[in-house]
Amino acid sequence: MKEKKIVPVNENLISAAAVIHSLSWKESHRSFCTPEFIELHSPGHQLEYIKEKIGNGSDFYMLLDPEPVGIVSVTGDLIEDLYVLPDIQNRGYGTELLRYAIDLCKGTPSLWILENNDRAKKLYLREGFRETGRRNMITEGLDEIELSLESENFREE
Amino acid sequence: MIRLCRLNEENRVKAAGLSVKEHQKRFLDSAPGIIAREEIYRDCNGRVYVIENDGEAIGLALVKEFTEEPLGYDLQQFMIDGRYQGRGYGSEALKLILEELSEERHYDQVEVCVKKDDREAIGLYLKNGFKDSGYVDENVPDAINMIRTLNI
Repeated sequence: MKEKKIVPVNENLISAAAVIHSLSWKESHRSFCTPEFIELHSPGHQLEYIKEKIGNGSDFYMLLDPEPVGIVSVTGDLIEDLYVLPDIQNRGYGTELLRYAIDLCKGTPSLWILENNDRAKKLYLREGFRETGRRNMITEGLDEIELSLESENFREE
Repeated sequence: MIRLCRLNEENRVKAAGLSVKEHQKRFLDSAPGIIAREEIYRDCNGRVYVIENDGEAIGLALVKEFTEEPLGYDLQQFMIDGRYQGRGYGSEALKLILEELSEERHYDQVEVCVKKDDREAIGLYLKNGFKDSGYVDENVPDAINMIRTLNI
């Protein structure tokens, strides 16, 4: 009964998904965003964001162990919204959600990270992702960069 | 017969005297340096294995665990003393290490960071199921990271 599993985010889970999204987003952006901007990303705000994204065709998934611990979204081959509750990061939940999302992609999985997010970058590189060279400016002096999974992924036999 | 032992009071002095061949010295730390890492990596479950052949210390290996995802074992400083190389002991010892970790099973993968021009080591890891992950640590640009999934 108490086993770990990944399930689609439905109506019953969407509020929990919003809480995870909010807590984790705030934690990861705190060091370089203004307090006002951080507080804007409340669970209510993130709930609207998730609802709108699902409305536009994205699929959200949640890892339960057995309580909600993390989420990820997949839109075609684009992996986004990978968030794990801050207090329980680096226990393998993020990697598990990432590998699950990769398996759902039919083409080459890709994702975007802020260029200053060294921890995320290292995780994705060790999982076989590489920088594609594409980048978008988020604000003055801060870009997001695209990573995609190498076609010759070392995990595949 | 090759077997793995944990570092202990009996094998410590002998282990500290082990050394690779001259041209291999730039690829790893000295034996006392390797032994010291058990203490340094205490927080990430670091342990030094002494590789013994018929009761005699012939090599060393250090295993610690990654504290950031993707989680896994981190194999470092794996060496066979220069006097005992070329007899297949390296492969035999590596197999024992992988068996040990497979049994312990905190994680399902082992990663090893190898200098790009350490062809002997890369050859040994390839022969034992490791693959180049393609990841190069920005802090160690002259090394590749090889990964092996532990058998389930």
